[in-house]
Amino acid sequence: MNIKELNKKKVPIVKIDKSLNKYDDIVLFPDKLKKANKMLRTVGLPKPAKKHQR
Amino acid sequence: MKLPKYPLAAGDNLTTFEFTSEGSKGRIIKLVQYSQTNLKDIFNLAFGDKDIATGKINDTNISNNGDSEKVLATIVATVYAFTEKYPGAYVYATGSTKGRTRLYRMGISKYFSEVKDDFEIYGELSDSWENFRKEVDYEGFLVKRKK
Repeated sequence: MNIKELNKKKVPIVKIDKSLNKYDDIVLFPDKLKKANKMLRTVGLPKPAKKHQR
Repeated sequence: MKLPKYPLAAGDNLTTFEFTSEGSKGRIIKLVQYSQTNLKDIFNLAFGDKDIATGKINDTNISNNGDSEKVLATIVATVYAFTEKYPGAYVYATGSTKGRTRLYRMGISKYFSEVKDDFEIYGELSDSWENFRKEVDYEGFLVKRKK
């Protein structure tokens, strides 16, 4: 598979780098996570789409 | 996606991704992290530059490396990879400033036609969610992989 074909794939090929596992228990962007949790408290999730009724 | 992307590396859990931006200012290591929020299956997406000297991450820096489209395409690729592994996950993203959030909106708009068949995409507006529309300035974004 050449680069052009690779670029057309939506799900990318990801090389596993175990050195990145060290971030599993670290929040690298705490301010963003705080904003996300605030959003979940105040806004919540989108309501499920209503099914069309006949 | 037809746009060029950078090669991606990730930890075993596919929650942290790394790639190297290459542009007019040289090579900049980017880290993308999906963090579990207080609610199950809802993750926050954030990314920033890694300072090679200190190892510190900066998500307010504007790199101006001349490759923003390729960077954005690569970040969208991480959303595909992450939601392939966690198909039931919601992914939330917002910018560190209004300007950055606007850039995210422009980015989503750019790829909308390519990703709308794969994701439910919502925009956060005045403390509620609506289906994403290209021309609206949202406060945040939420995506979920379609089944």
